[in-house]
Amino acid sequence: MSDESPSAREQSALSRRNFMKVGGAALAGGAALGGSPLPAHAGTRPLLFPAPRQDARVQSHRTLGRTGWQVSDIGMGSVPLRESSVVRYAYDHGVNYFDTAEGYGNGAAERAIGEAMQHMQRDKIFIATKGRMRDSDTTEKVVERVRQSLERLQTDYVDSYSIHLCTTVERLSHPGYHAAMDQLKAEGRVRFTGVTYHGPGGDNDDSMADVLVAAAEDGRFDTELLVYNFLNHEEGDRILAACKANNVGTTAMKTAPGVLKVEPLDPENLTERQEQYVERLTRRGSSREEALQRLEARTKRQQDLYDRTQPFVEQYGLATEEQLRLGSIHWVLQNPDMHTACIAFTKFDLVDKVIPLSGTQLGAAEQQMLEHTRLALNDQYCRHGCASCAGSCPYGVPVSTVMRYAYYYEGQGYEKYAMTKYAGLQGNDATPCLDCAGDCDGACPHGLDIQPNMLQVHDLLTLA
Amino acid sequence: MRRLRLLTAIAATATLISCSQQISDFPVLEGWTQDGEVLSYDADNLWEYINGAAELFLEYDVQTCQTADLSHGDLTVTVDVYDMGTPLNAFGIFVRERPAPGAPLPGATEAVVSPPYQALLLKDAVYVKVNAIEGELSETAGRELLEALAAALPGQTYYPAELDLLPQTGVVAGSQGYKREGYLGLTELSHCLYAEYAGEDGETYEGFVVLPEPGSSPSSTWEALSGEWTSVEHQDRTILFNEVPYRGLVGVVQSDGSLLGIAGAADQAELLKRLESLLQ
Repeated sequence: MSDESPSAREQSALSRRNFMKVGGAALAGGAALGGSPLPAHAGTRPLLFPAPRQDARVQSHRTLGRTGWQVSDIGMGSVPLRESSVVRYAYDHGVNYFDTAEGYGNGAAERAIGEAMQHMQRDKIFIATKGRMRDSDTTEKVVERVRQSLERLQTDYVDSYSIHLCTTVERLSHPGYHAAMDQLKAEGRVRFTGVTYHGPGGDNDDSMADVLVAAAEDGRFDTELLVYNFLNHEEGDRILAACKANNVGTTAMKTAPGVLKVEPLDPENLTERQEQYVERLTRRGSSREEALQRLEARTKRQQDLYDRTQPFVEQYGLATEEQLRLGSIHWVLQNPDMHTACIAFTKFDLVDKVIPLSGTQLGAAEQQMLEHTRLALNDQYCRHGCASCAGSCPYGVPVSTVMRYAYYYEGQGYEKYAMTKYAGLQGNDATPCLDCAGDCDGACPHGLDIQPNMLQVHDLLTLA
Repeated sequence: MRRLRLLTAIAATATLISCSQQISDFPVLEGWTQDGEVLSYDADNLWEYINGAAELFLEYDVQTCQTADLSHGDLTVTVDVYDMGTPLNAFGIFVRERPAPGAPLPGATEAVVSPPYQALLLKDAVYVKVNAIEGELSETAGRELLEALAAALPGQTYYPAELDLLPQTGVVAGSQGYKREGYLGLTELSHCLYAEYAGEDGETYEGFVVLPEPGSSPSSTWEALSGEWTSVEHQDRTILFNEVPYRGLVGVVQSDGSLLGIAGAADQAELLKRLESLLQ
């Protein structure tokens, strides 16, 4: 934790250069900010979470709903797992919750956990596995698949067996699954049931919240695995409330989204990587035009993700991808209603980095600092794709576009590219802002002070 | 020199190999009826189809997945055709997902049938996964289906050329694999080919070759390891080694322009002995 006092941080203002990195395109300076005190920037502020340590152990356990199990707040996911020694390493650092599935590596993840089983005390760990349920899956088929999972896991029982990828509320009542679970529970092969869902992939799928809230209220499910992170928690919060009300255990997946960098797209001047992407698509039958459209859509998605990530990055003082990952996990751990967070440990050093986060809570000072930063950023962050201010400028200056070029320059380091793009605006750049009375004042619904920012961008992108 | 020439040849032909493959049409099989449409996914949305299992495919740089249900008599199967971009990536994920070493199959590189539910196929840059959803997939039916699929898919039937970089003496047949990231759980070891080797003492050990990162040379990997691992001189060679939790020592040596290594040595003497054996 930082030993710098919040008041000291509040008094330190963002440098002009650093602030522009904050919101992707937001700009600041004394004049633009109106003297508002701001916290220091990512690169200079101490991080809110502890540094990696090989000797760290899990420090916090939470009750996994009605299962009554005391699970480590950091659990282990196993999707790309091959090395059973990493399972053992996590266990030796205090992890006692292991999430896997028959479909992860076509059973390879279960096998890796099974290979580590001889080094773990079976009654000290919670093994959660799962399988997809098709309409045609009978009780016998489900029972047989669970038996195969048990064989791969080298154990007599699993602590929970969930419906994997449960895309509709209707599927919660899968008859083969429930009959199989009744049988396997009676045999002592499965202790608890559960549901997992990432969110809809098709038009006929229900939302994650609809499925998992219904599952929590259903009464037949003891645990749920859901997407939960700083970018996607509205649905998750609804689900957690339902789980809490019904004493259902909760596990977070996809805890660390977000990106720190996006390659801007100029269809006339693709980067090497973008050209490779287009080539791959054209090799598979797409026209170049179609490939470019897909690239554009992909870049837009990445851009959107980047923009949504930025406020969090600044609040948490994050400067690298690794810090973003750890900060994201730390954020999830702050919610006591999320009982454990599944982290895909595939390497030893990731265990060393994540385990020190266990049990760490933000103190009052850190929470206050985050709130100050959030408030400060809120009215200085030009949101990608917003364009609510469009039309407010009597000279037709494309404000959001200009701000985007500033973000290319400062936020991503594509300085030459940004200046070229800005020069390409020709008579449509921010030059009129120099003598304008400021009709755009108040046009940003998020409180961004447009004209001063336009002036600074103009200076920046013309090297004035 | 053989290994160096091979590395150069692989680098030179990689583009040609990948450009020659086009997986644009879903296989049409005589006697089988397609139920519903062919669904297509790529790296951006594969999770919508296979959920968290997509992460492993992303690790191996999946390009597309085409999937459809096919019926023949009482049997209905889902056929997933994964275009992995390169034969090496397809081989890597095939080995990771197969339940046991496969067998040769006409028109394919390798195949595994696991009655009554599943059959897997490797051919060139394509990995095919068949899952029975109605009825039971017998060994015979599985092989016939895979043969038909193999015949309908383009590409070569031989294993990725990169596998020849692994030393051949003492290699345990069918033990070869390819890990793109975090080999042995170590962040610093990526793009590793590996195989089991029979030692003189009757025990097996794991040997591996570190492929250069795309766009870089083996020497850059060596330099990176030099900064983190312990160095020892042995018979005019520099050996770099490190300890892997619960697995003993892992060590690498430069040979013919590539990095050769072994894992799981109990101590330094065993490490050097096995490296010597691998270099012969």
